[in-house]
Amino acid sequence: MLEQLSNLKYFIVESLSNIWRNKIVNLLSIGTITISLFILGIFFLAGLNLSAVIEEWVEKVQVNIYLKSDITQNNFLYLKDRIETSPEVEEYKYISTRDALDDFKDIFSKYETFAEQLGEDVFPASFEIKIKNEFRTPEMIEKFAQRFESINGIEEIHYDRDWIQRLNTIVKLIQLAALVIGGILVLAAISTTSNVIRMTITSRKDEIEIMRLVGASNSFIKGPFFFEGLIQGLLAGGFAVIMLYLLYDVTSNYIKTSAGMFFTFMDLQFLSDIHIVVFLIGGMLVGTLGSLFSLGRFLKV
Amino acid sequence: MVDYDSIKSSDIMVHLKNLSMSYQRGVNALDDLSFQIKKGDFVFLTGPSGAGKTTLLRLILREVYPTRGELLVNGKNVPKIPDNKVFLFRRDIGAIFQDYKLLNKKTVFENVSFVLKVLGKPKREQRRKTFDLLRKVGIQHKLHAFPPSLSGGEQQRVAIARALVNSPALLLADEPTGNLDPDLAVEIMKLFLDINHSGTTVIVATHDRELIHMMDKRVIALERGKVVPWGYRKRVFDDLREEE
Ligand SMILES: Nc1ncnc2c1ncn2[C@@H]1O[C@H](COP(=O)(O)OP(=O)(O)O)[C@@H](O)[C@H]1O
Ligand SMILES: [Mg+2]
Repeated sequence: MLEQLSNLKYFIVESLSNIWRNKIVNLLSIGTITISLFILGIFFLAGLNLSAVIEEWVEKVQVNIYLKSDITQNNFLYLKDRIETSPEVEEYKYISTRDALDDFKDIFSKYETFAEQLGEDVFPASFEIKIKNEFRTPEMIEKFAQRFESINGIEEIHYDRDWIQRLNTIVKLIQLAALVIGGILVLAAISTTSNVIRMTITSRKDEIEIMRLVGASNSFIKGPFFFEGLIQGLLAGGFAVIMLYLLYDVTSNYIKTSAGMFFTFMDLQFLSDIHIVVFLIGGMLVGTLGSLFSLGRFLKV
Repeated sequence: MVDYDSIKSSDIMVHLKNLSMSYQRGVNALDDLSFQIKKGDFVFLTGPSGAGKTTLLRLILREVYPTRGELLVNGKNVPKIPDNKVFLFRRDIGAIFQDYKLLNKKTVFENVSFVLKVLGKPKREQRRKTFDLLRKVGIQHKLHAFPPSLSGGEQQRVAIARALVNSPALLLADEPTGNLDPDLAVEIMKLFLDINHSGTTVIVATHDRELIHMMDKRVIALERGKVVPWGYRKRVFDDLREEE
């Protein structure tokens, strides 16, 4: 155990000094891992924040059924009953023409007289329906709305179907792009790391041969190279997180100052602590895989 | 048929039978060698340049493989040692290479202590033994120097210290005094005798006849890859002298 620990220390010290000795090539592999993780991170952050926005909006999803002003008492009651007994409905509210007018006056008090002049026709009565969580998919909302279309006395059924669908598609596309581009980048990073490690191995062929001749085991010889990849990856992961944070900081400041009132509800999210740990581990994995490939091919027993 | 088991368990350190080795087809660097070296022996391997001394030492260390014949070292059938076990076999052998083979990016101290580090010896033992040997070869004042900054003789002494630091069962020394002053050469030979007395089998490859005469030990003489009687060359040498 003590032997393993002292070997570990030797491996780490040795690989750090190797990295330092070959700064330029090592920067190359650290750089490629950093960039690929950074781009992967941008996609991830974009997805994360868009999902958050969508979730917030979906939370508010409601179906509005606007009524004709001449709806019969019977049709009104029938509609009300249908709404009440629908399994999708979490709660609903009837908003009379009067209520709608008052609401308008509350919000736009300046135009109070203007509203009076418009008359009640402009503000149709409606049912505001909040859909239960489990039914809040675009498809199910559409199905729900369709069931009311045939009822007489309805002016219009309004629900936010299109943009929910569009946003969902965008998020799916982002995730797909992240997967494809990220995958390619990660492969490139692994191959760069592996090439850099191969160069180090080749440039140290004589040393390795001497270590063999004085009885060093294979794992003892491989250890420093293994850690070289691992440390490169870890450093790259750290750099990528820092770069992502800077990007996040700039972007969220920009949104706050310039986009002003429209997006104030939108506080950008950064990676959580767990995400950061996953990121660092991911970097380590990329670097380690790179060195394992080279060790497997160029440092056979 | 050879009785491998009896050789393995016996007091034979090196066993060669009909051993041949060629780097290129048709040219034998070593040709049909058969002899044994007992455990605890001190043997000189001599012969002119190109005779095959270095090749024999490389065979023993499993740097190269025989083309034919038997080679047993320290109870192991050398060509048959699995690749992933060779490092264990080598840990019992201290080797001094003709070209030193020092790690240029490590200090003198690290070059020697490395052997013990590889074995997982504790730090304190590493330091103590390394200092001890560097003092014995007289290079304790250059602990933190890097090999390229040393003279040939100094590098050779570091190589000697590295080979001895682990008190190996077998010491292979390839021209270990080639770059040393005669006085220093004598010191190194004394060191070899010491380690030999403490049980290490010693094989010294050298073409330095004076050294051999001074030591009065068993001599295996090679010429063009074959064992020749020791003294044969001396006679030829003397004959040539007489003709002058
Ligand atoms: N790596 C090699 N490749 C081809 N031939 C070699 C190699 N090493 C040595 N030889 C040849 O093998 C013979 C023995 O060489 P060597 O063992 O180095 O002799 P010595 O150490 O006695 O001077 C020589 O003819 C030499 O040219
Ligand atoms: Mg030689």
